[in-house]
Amino acid sequence: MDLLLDAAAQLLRLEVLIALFAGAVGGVLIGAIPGVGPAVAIAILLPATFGFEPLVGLVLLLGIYGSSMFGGALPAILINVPGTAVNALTLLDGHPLAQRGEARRALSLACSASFIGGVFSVLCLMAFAPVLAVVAPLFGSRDIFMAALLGAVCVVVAHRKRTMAAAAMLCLGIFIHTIGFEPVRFSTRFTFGQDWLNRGFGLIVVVLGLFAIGQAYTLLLSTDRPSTPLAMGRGRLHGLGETLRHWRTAISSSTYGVVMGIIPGVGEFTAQFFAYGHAQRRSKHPEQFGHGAPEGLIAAESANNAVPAAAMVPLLALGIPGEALTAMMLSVFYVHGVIPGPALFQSQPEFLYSLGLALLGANIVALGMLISGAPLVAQVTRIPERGLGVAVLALALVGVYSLRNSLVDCIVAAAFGVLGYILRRIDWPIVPIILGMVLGRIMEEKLRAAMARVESPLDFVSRPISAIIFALILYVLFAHFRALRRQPDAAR
Amino acid sequence: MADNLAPNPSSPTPGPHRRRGVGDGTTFLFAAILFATALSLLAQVDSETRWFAGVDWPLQPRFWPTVALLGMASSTGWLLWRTRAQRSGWLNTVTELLTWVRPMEYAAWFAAYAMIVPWLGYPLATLLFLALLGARVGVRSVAGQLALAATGIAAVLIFRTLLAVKMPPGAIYEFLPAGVRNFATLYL
Repeated sequence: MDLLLDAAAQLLRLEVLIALFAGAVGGVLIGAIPGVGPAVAIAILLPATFGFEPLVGLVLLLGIYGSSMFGGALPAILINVPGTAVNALTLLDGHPLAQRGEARRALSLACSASFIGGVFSVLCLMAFAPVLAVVAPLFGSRDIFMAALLGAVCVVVAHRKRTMAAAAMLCLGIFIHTIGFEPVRFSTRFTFGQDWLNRGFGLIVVVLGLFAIGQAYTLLLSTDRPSTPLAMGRGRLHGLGETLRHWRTAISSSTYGVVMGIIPGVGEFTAQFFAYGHAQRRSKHPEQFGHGAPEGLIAAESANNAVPAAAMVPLLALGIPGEALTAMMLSVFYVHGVIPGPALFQSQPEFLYSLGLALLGANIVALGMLISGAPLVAQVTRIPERGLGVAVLALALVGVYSLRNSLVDCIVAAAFGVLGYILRRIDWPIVPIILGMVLGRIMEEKLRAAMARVESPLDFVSRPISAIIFALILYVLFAHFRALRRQPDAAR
Repeated sequence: MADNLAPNPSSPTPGPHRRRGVGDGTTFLFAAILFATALSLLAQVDSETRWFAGVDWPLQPRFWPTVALLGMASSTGWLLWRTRAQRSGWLNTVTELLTWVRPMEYAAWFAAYAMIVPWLGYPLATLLFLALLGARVGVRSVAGQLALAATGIAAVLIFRTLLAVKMPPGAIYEFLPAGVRNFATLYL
């Protein structure tokens, strides 16, 4: 209880509250604009947060992350275009509801479900925190190495029908991480004699290039989407009561979100997919799914919004990001000398509760904003794509240039933007590149540290924790190949 | 139903004009480029990394680059094998490659923008960039240009004035009176 009160006290400072409010409001608006998404916003704002206190910067970014999925439901329901990729399943049932003149009902269902998912996930984070404080310090180098390897395997198999493409991108990310000056033996790797490559490719530059600049190119080269949002109708809290009547669907879907969020490399889409399928199987009216089933909408939204808080668990406990956005936030921790991992739970436990409370606050602000101002927020769906692309490209410069005022960084980011554009065009995954860079670094460091105690490969799985994780890796691979064998010639 | 819908679970934002990569020639083309790149880099592992005698293989600097490149080569090689029947004819291949290089124009715009910031200062460079690039992509109405200008002003106010993000002062500020120059250097 004392910890919670300390955490709340940290949060109740003016600058933190401003960051929370700005992040939550900004997240809803950013999520509501198709073609932007929280990844772009976080990538652009990331360098700007380096000058803040760690809590202020993280609360701002978490606010954006936690609220963007609220906003992403808006265009999914009103114009059949998901605001963020994780709202893709929302439009299956949200848009048909809107087409029947029940847009307001669909929106309040989506917001309520997102709120329940977010709150459930935060409560789980806070409930797990004391357990993690005991368990996390037991993780040694071998165990963290195996956990990072599990994350790498999961991020690959999570991309059903694009597994080999995801594997290629993960390996590309690992390779990119190795380029430059290697600080242990003081040698260079793949610099080709170029001085500017000695520093390697910074994570933020690559993130800005792939996400923000690549998306800007996609928007600039698109034709402006004609969009007329459907009328919203009346009523404010209609969906909240209905969501509570489907509490089993909301809670089970939120549980999927929490579990998938905790497993490194999995993320919102897989959580949503499993939750939707489960809800459909358990429903009394499975035939309605895809045609405006409230349970489908509730399942999708509560699952995807349950992921952010859960994704903080492996990040805070082990320093292993759960997915791409938390991978970006890792850099904020490192810049401020706050190293996520077992030591953090012991030295600054109230910091972790503050982050959980911040996410809770972001959910409350986002819900309130949409309940009271949804028609106004919906106007952002009308922004023409090419104009948006110009704005995103201009804002991306702030992110890249502010790091080191380096023209080389800008050119590198622009080049990665071209890669990001190509990958979007051919529908290859981008997130594995980022996770490859982060997990590759973790695996290299932990392997180096572990080798002092390892005499044979079996020593990597001789500890109970690493043995369990290794068994999990084998199970994930087994389940993946079994699913492949059952599918008729699915593109692998 | 959800299975058929899935566009790309890790695409950060959806794009209405994306093409599916699996099952058409684009996967084969891109996989071929990556495969060739991975092989050529693997051939240079010896020259681009050092080998330290007496150090275990997993601790060698070249271990992780080699693992990554082998992984890239294996996975793209597998994709080449699986999609070999879907590769496009020469004309389609060239057309697709030309599409892939189209964003380089905007990459050049971005680089030019970054180059003029130290000369004109962030606000003027931003307003100029937004106006010119906006006009280039077809945002030529008064309302559109004003919206872009407002975006630029908001960006300056938020990032420079409020958040004090690190940006170099413009060389052009030297021509400003001393007091205005100091203000501009700190807040614009």
